[in-house]
Amino acid sequence: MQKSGLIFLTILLGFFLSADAQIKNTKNQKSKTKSSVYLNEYRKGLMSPTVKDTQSFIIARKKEIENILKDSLPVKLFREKGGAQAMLAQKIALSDGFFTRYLFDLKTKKPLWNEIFGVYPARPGDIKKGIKALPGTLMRVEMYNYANNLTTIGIVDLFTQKLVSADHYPDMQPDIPQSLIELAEQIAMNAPEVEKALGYKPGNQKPVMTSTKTALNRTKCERSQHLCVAPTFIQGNRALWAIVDLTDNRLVGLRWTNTGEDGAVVTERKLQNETVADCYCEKVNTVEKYGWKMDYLLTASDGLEISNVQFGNQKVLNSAKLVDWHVSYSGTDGFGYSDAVGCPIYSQAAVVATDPPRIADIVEGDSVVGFMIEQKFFSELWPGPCNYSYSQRNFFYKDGRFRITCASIGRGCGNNGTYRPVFRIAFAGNQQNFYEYASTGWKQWNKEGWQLQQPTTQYDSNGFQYKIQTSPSLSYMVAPGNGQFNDGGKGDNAFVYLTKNHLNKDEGNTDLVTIGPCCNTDFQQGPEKFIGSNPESTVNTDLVFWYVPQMKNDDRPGSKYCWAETYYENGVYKIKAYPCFAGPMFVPQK
Amino acid sequence: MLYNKILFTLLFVWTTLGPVCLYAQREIKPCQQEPAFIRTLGFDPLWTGLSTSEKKLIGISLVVFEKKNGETAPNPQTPKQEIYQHPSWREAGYLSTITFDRQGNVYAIPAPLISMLYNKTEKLNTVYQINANTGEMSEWMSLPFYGKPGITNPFGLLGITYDCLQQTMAVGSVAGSDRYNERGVIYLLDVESKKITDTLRNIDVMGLAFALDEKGNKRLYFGKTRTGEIYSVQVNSNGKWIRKSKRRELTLEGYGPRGDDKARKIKFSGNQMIVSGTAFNYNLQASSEKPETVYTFIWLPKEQKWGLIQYQ
Repeated sequence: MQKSGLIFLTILLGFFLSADAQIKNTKNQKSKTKSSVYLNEYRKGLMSPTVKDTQSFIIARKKEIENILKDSLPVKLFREKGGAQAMLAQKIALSDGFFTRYLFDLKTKKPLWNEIFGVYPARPGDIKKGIKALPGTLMRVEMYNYANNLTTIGIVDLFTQKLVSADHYPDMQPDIPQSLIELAEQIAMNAPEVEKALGYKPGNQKPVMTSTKTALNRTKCERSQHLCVAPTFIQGNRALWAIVDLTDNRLVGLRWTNTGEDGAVVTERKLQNETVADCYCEKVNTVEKYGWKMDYLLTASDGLEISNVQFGNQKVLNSAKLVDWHVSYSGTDGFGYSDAVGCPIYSQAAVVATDPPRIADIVEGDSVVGFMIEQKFFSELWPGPCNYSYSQRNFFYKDGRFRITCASIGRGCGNNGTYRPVFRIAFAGNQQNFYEYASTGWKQWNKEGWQLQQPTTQYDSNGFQYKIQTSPSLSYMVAPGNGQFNDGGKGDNAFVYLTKNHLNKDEGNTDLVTIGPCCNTDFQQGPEKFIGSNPESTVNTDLVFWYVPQMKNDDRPGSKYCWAETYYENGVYKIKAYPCFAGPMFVPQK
Repeated sequence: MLYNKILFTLLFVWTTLGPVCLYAQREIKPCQQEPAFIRTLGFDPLWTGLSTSEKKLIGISLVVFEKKNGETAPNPQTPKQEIYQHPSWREAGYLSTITFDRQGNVYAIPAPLISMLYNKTEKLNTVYQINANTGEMSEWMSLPFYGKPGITNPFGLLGITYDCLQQTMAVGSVAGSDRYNERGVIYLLDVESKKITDTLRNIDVMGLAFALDEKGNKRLYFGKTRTGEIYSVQVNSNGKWIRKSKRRELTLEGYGPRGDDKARKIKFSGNQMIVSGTAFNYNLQASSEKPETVYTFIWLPKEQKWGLIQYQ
């Protein structure tokens, strides 16, 4: 068997619409004009390299942050208004240990990125009971901590030169200063997506909300917990919201609204959910590349489903999808979850797609050898404890091989978890036969059944355990994961089930509700239901191949697996992922 | 503020009636009684709470808190001493909101958690009752489906509240709704006769509460699951809607740390409306991962509208 070698994934398209993808047909939808576009990959750079910044104002901003993080106090001061009084107020506040409590990471003491957004005369409501001061001497200092998404408000007395009160507000953001308004406008005005949406480059025409006379609309980045604002461009009776993330300095997405709409707020999560639902949950897309052609659809509870897969003129798969994730924790009987993955809204998914599927080239050495289609799923507070993230990656090679894989990206409820994803893979052809390798050669399975990959499992000289004959002239050799795919996978230890594909009854062809409980540690993962007490013949018939790998998580340094954690970089926290990929390779044999 | 996944209702820690302001929208005086079975089981009702969100437990459970010297009632930080579950309390699968009546009966509605494994689709519009005396749970009333829960919306009932003025109950279901069709129903029930007295169709709601409006009329306040808006509609003495009185009270849109919260729970304290807001997207994302924010609004008689005074 050919080794896949080190895989470099060239991101062709991180955006919502693949150049190779065409909308094939629609289902369950009313005619609807697409008004929102989600542009940026959620948690970009998590499992692939980040794109390098080229805009001069972003480079300058990042350089400024880098320099400030080297100061003894990692705080950008507010210099826009207030003159000497405002500077004095900031100095007083920053000399107080309580006000500066969160300037550094509490454990590692590394500097976090902070900025004072404003200094104003204190309002009556700011002055707590018991505080006495000369009239006009109290000032309010508002500071934002980008890493913790936290606002600190201090009241200082300019006369006594002391901080008289301070409060820290998690998940709150103060009004932004003029310099950040201008930065947000620049990011929006220079974004090609804004130009495309408006039909012209905004240039000197600054965004403005005619109703409020302010350039910025209210918005939130609920998922990333970043500081976001929405420069809004008016065109006739419509408004184009450009959501800008000022923590990462990037455009998140665009959304048209009618200017007359009352109270409708466009946010990051709404953009993400609507774009994914519109373009991938309710539309079947098609990708045609390197001899392969297939449809793909994000399901309500079975992950990303590929269907009508063909290589050249040969039909290969009717469909392949990820039915469930069973997560169980040892040490606590029966504790775990059965997670379905799928569409972000109006679905039975417990862990949802927040980004569109991504199609990328597979590069080995200096050659493109195929492509991959990937879908990621996230819990809202991942990688916090008891939150989950999963990835589905299907690889298609120019030589006709393909591999169906998935990974847990942590973090779950503990370091004693085992993940058991349930794949349903239906090959094309109604004269199929199935074989396993034994020391005496290939042995046919005549009836439905299941088997566990174990240390004693026998493989042929190329590492194949099974053979699926899809027609008299074509078979697919099956190599389960044994740590040979250079994707970090440590071996699948998989349960395999073979069931007859009944054409007259649904045994998982359509969206399956949860197929099994979280915590069975034996073969009872769900597919055995379709075998029953009287296994049917599997000779010369339609078959379904179910594959349930088992991955045990690990949080020990050096061997982290199915795990994720935050780390510090340039004054903010980022996420490091340790995915545990599993899944079989299928190699054609004529 | 992170949402505490424990969605428990502390019995008998009822908010006392605040000063009744003329011309203010305000709460209805609570009337609920403690369920007698708690004392029968040997527990002190003041130091127990019913919970539908105990990790590792399906259904409803009675949490017994450790008594502490100097404290008259438990608080959210009070350690748990014991958890009691009657065998019947698991039979309906996962449950969500709880309410009580003036006899001490407990009512709860089913809602799938993370997966559909433990909740039967055909029971998602069924209200369950724990008998105040026996402590046994059984099906109390199965409400008609106007649309079936399915793969694109796994929910049925999402809200329930009891009216202390008339022994009326309001229950909201979103069964059968999808992205393009709002097929939810608010049922008004007469608790004594177990009959539906009226319905409000084609509206998806979650948080529900009865209260008095600025003219002293009883209204049902309900939080919409699609927009973050809270509406109200008057209920007459025959347990019927006065449909023309339906009005928009406020919206959570743009408020709080997320900006897209929906009203999961509504309660009144004096002339304040206290709304627990959280994300809701018609999927099975665990509630434990959904931060919740409590918004406090006050009725402004001069402006005839609600003003947000704080959220946390």
